[in-house]
Amino acid sequence: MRMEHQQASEPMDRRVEDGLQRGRAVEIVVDGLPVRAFEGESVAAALLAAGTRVLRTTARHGAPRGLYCGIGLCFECVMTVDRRPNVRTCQTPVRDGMQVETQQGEGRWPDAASRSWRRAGA
Amino acid sequence: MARRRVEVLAAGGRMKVPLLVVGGGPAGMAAAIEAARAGLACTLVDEGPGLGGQIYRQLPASFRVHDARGLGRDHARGEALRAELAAAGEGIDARPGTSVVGIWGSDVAWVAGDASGTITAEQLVLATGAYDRPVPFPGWTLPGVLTAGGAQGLVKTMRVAPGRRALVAGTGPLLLVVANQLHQAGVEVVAVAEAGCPTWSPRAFGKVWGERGLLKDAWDHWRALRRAGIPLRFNQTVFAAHGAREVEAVTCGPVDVETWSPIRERARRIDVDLLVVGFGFVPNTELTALAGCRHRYVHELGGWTPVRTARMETTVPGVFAAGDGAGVAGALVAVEEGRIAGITAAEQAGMLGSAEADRRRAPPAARLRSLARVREVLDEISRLRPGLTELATPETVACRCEEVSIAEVDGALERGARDLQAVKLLTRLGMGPCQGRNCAPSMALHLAHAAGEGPEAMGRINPRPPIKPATVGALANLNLHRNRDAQGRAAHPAGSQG
Repeated sequence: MRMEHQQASEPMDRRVEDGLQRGRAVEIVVDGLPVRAFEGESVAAALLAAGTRVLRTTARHGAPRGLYCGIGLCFECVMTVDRRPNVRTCQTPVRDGMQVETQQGEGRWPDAASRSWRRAGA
Repeated sequence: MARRRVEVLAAGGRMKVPLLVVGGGPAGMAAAIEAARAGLACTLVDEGPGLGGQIYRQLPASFRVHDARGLGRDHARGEALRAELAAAGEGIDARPGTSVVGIWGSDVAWVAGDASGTITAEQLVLATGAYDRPVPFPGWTLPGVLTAGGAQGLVKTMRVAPGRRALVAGTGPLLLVVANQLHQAGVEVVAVAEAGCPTWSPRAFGKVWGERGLLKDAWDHWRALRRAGIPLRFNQTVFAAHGAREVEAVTCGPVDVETWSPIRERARRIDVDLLVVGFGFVPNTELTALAGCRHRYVHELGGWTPVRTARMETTVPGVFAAGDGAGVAGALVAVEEGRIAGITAAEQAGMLGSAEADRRRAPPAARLRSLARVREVLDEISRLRPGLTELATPETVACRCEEVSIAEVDGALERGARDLQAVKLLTRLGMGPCQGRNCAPSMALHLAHAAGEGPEAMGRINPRPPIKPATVGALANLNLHRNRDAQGRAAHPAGSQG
């Protein structure tokens, strides 16, 4: 399922611009769509700045969840980042070209990784 | 004074240190500073990207501020402490970006990304801080509901406004701070709903007079709120958040002055896209629990706290606890507690004589006595009242991770569960990745309310290592089991939670 990121027609930016120079501008890819970000920002902050607040849906009821505690304790903001599920986006800094996906339920590891893992005999 | 040598053992990421401080907030930094001043080398680890903890959190290293004066008093206090740490010399080995995931005796396991290792510490200062007290109410899981600390972090360090129009609800002076910060960030704050109500008796005033500086903070925030035209409503709180996929509106209204029970017939609905909730804080006691320290339930300190002496010693020799993680009392108290812990650790390591240690402990101890009087007054305003548990309805989510409802918790009660552990086994409450941090405090109150007993009788949900997510590869590299065979050397990350 693809989430709306409200940025194609009318780019939203909730960054506060007052006497502050952010890090280098980068681009992350969220559910296939480019989202502007700045070095030093967390993934969650970059998404909130773009107006995206639903970061995942739950396993049992498919309920939407977003950033809650902001300090890495509640695990509500987890998403699939660079094919790795359950990454706390409030604690993860953005990186140019980072692939972020809205996580459904508990998320899943890519098949290729599990195959190579099996091949390695671990 | 001779400085103790830090012994680094190359094999398997094991390292031996005289003092390990866990937590780089005000308490941990102060402990490291005092230990280093006494000549005791120490290692300071923190999960965050830089030192400062939550309250003194730094802006990202890649951000540049043109005028630091606008960043406020907390920023200045944090910078002063970081400068003190830098001046304390090379005796401090600071390692940000490092999570402690478990403690086994004097072995402390850490993870930093896919790297991991074990530190054997002769002494340990645990300064793990606190987190926003979770209070369940209908709609509290909707995106757009943020904790006060979470909202503050976004605005303060990320400089992102988490919504357009907000209600700030809960209790305590932090609400005023956050409301002003949101306002400055361009968010329209419709009101601050404070569940408590200050009673400024002459006696209360006398108690806090010695801490005018601290009061001035609160006073300044209140004045700024008035200037911004943001109403501060006492004895009111949020009843529910509404929205299909995100917050679109909230219901709020008055609470009973004594019990804080919601007076639902006087509720009103306000359209907002952001709800910021702060009902005080809960100490992070996972590591003190794993270290084997005895705990007791102290309501005004946020719940379960390690039992300590005035020198910040826990019941386990060589293990100290300081700051909000040992009982919520704020950053100014945390700094002084951290200093005392650092001085005492240095004394016990033989770096300070007892007379010198006493001399060094005296100023922070005097500051603590003075600050304690202010706390008494603030605690009385923000003391949680039992009516708060009535905000939740049977459909309300109790455990956010495992999606256990209040009705399911009550079902477990009907089946004979009498404490958190039994509810956990019957419902999966607290078995998710947050390890009960978000459900145990509120459900202890809920069960206690139902049973007519104190929350301390409801027990705890025990933390299990790894308390923070770690890949199997990182865990395998910890070398905790020295007799493992080559098969145990799993190098591929194969899971994000243990």
